[in-house]
Amino acid sequence: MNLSRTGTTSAARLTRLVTQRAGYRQRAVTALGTLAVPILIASHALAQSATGSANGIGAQMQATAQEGLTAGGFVAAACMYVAAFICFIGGVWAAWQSRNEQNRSPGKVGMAIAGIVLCGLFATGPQWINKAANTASGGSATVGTQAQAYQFTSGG
Amino acid sequence: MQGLVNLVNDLALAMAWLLPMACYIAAWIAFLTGTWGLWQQRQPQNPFVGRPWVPWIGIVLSGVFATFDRILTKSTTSAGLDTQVALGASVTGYTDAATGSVISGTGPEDAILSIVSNFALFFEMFGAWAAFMAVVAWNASATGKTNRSKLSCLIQFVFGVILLNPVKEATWILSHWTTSG
Repeated sequence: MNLSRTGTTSAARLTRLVTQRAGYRQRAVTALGTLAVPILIASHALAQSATGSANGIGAQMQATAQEGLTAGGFVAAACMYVAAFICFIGGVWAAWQSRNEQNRSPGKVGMAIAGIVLCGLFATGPQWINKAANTASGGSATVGTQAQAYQFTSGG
Repeated sequence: MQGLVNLVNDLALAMAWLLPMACYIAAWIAFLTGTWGLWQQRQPQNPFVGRPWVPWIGIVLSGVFATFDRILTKSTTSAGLDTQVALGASVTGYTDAATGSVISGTGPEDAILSIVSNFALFFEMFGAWAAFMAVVAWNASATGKTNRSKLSCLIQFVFGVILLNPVKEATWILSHWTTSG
C-alpha cells in the first residue's frame, strides 16, 4: 500500500482521476478511429463467403454433446432404477404396515398404492416422457441419446 | 469482421449442439423430480402441501424439454415469425447472406440486413437458449427452488422467441426508415 498518497486531499484526487479518465477516453477514440479507417477503405473485408468450419469449436461440441448424452442417459437409467426400487419397497412396506394393528390407517393404504404405481412409472420412464411430449407438443420426443444440432428455417 | 463472423457462428454451432443435450438431461430430471414429488406427497414430510399440481408440472415439462424444438416452432408461429425449428444429426454450416460486399447495395438498409443475416444463427441460438432457461427457471419457481416470479420467466421466454427470426424483425424495423419511398 502506498502511504505517500494518503495526504492528498479528496478534491485533488478526484480532479486527477477525472483528468485520467478523460485522457483514456481521448486515446480510446483515437484508437477506434484508427482501427475504423482500414474497415472503411477495405469494405470487401466485411464478411464474405462465410462457411462453418468442420473442425471448429462448433463441430467439436458434437463430440462433447454425444459424451454428455451417453453419460446423461446412463445416469438417468440408474436414477430411475433406484427410484423404482425405493418406491416398490416403500409401497410394499406401507401395505404391510397398513395391515398391522398398531399402524392401521388410510394413509398407509394410499402410500402403498402410490408406491407400487410409481414403481411402474419409474421403470418405464422413457415411455412416460414420450407420452408427456405428446401431451405438451402433439408429437413424439425429438431428443435422444444421439447428438443432434438445432437448425432454423425462416419462413420469411 | 470476417473473423468475428466466423467465431460467432462457430459459437452458435456449439450452442446448437449443446442445447439438445441440455434438453435431454432437463427432460429426465423434470420427470424424475416430478414423479418423485408424487411419491413425496404420500409421505408425512410432503413439500407440496396445498400445491398438489406442482409434481404434475414437472412431468408435463419433461415432455416440453423432450420436444423443445417443436415447442419453439409453435411459439414462433404464434408470434408470427414462422421460423421452423428442427434437429439434425450433422454439422450445420451457415451461408453468408451477402455474396459481394455488404457495403454495396441500394442503401444502408442492405448493409444492415446483411450484417444481421451474418449473425442470425447466433441470435437464433441465443434466443433458443434464453427460452430454454426461462422454462427451467419457471419449473424451479413452481417447485420453490427460486424466488423468480413466473411473469419474469414468461417475459424471458417471449424475448427468446422474438430472437428466433432476427432478419424478419430487422426488415420490419428498417421498413420505417426506408429510402425508397
